[in-house]
Amino acid sequence: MSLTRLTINEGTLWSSVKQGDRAAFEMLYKIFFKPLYNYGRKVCSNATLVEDSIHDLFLDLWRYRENLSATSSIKFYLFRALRRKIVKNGEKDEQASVFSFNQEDFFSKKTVSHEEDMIALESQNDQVRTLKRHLNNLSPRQYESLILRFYDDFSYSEIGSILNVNEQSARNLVQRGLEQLRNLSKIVFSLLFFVILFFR
Amino acid sequence: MKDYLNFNALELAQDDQFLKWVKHPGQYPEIDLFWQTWREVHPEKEYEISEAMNLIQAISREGEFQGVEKLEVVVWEKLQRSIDQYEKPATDRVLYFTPFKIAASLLIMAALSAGVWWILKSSSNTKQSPIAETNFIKEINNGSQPKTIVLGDGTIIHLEPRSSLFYPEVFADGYREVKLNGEAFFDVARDPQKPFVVHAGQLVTKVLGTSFTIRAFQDEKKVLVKVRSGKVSVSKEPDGKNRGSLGNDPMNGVLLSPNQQVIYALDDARLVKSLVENPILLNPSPNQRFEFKNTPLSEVFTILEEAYGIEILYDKEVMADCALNASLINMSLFDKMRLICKGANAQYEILDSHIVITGKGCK
Repeated sequence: MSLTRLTINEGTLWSSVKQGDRAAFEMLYKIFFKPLYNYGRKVCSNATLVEDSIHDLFLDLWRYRENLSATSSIKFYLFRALRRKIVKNGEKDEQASVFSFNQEDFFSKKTVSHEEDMIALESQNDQVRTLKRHLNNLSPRQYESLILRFYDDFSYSEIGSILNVNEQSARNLVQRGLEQLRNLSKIVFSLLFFVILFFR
Repeated sequence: MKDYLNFNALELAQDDQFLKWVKHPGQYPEIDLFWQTWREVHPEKEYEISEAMNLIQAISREGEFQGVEKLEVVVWEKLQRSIDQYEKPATDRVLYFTPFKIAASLLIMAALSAGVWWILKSSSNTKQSPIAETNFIKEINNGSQPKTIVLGDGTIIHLEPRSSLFYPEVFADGYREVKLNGEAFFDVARDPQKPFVVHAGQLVTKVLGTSFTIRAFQDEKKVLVKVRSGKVSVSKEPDGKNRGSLGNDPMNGVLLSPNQQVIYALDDARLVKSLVENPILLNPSPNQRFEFKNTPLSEVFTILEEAYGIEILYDKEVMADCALNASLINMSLFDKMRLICKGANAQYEILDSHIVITGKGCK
């Protein structure tokens, strides 16, 4: 039974956590661990860092729960907080090493490998498969904005807030990401076409 | 309505309504209907539509990482340990005392108590502790029947046998504080300015005006608080230094609603919230018949949720086709649940303070 499909009132859950209800806290964790981890791993290649950041995020949530403000979307709140945690923890790790920290490098995307995804692949048509392969060739930020929009269903203003840019920039990121994705796959198609013509 | 005829594939993919249709078919019937019709009426847009759909599907079907379930458990266990460590840092350290450290701390303690004694001695004439000012009454029930006590503020207490209650003749400002050994039912007179506080076992129970039962016999190694009406806050007795935040200690507290209870086991020092053994109706009235004729299960659950103030969790889609024909008069809540579940081919369990229904539906 998946907990997310139950009729749970988000507001009640949030305020119960705020009041120190540990069972509600556990439920919150169980509902959101998977989406948070999947998001974290897609935007950050360091698995341990993602795990630790989720751990720290929930620990803080419990320790400072009294100060939690009402939120219209728990998912949005947690995603934004997780991204900040990853950046912060990543910075800490980097400071210990010789290299300086670069957020763009750090948020290197990690698309899911094909073995992990075999079943999903079988049910898709050729064009979808090609497009999926080209997700690898987008810039990290474009990729992340597309994931937030089409995988995690966030609104443009929420995406902007998570990525620390305004709503219009979020729209532009998604727009350019889609454009790039489509163009990349078109190049492959026309190349293929050319090769076939040439060797006929 | 937007002029979708001028939209290319990219613009379609970015449209909220279009996205809902592609990603969540069936969830928004009106949107589905619009796009299905639009697609049929405009065959010339078929290329743009399918390209937009492919784009969305390529991204929304990025898979999930393997082993997430296992990681979920691992991280949760680590989190539990971190929270425990954070919430009681003092107790763990005691284990590592070496003989030298013990000797040193004994010395410091001796010095401190000498100092404290000296200060108290010099100030005892000017200051008196507030407890000494008021007269305390100790009520003991050695009989075999509950004993009823009415306090000055109108609060009624039914003190069970083998139990005792310790309370001031006149309540001080701020709180109405009493101490209980054993078991009692409290019907507290409402006074938002002066919360009513019961100290029992190692728990502090704080209310404004409600009724509830506390059971805290010393030989039972656990403390139980059951709520009949209103909201009740229960927390662990704060240790010496936090004495000021009476019953406000958020780290170790739970909030109870009617028909909920909390058990505090002295052994593992944790508050466990659950439902009372036999939930009662919040506002019993003769009009509440609980007679159902072809009533959808979702409606039945809503009625029960309101009647008992207990949240019932279930999968709405699965139970959508279930209806109930029954009269559930003069039955306890759990007997009602047993009957409903039998009819709907489902099971119920009590999880924390909720009732969770699982089943395959009635198709």
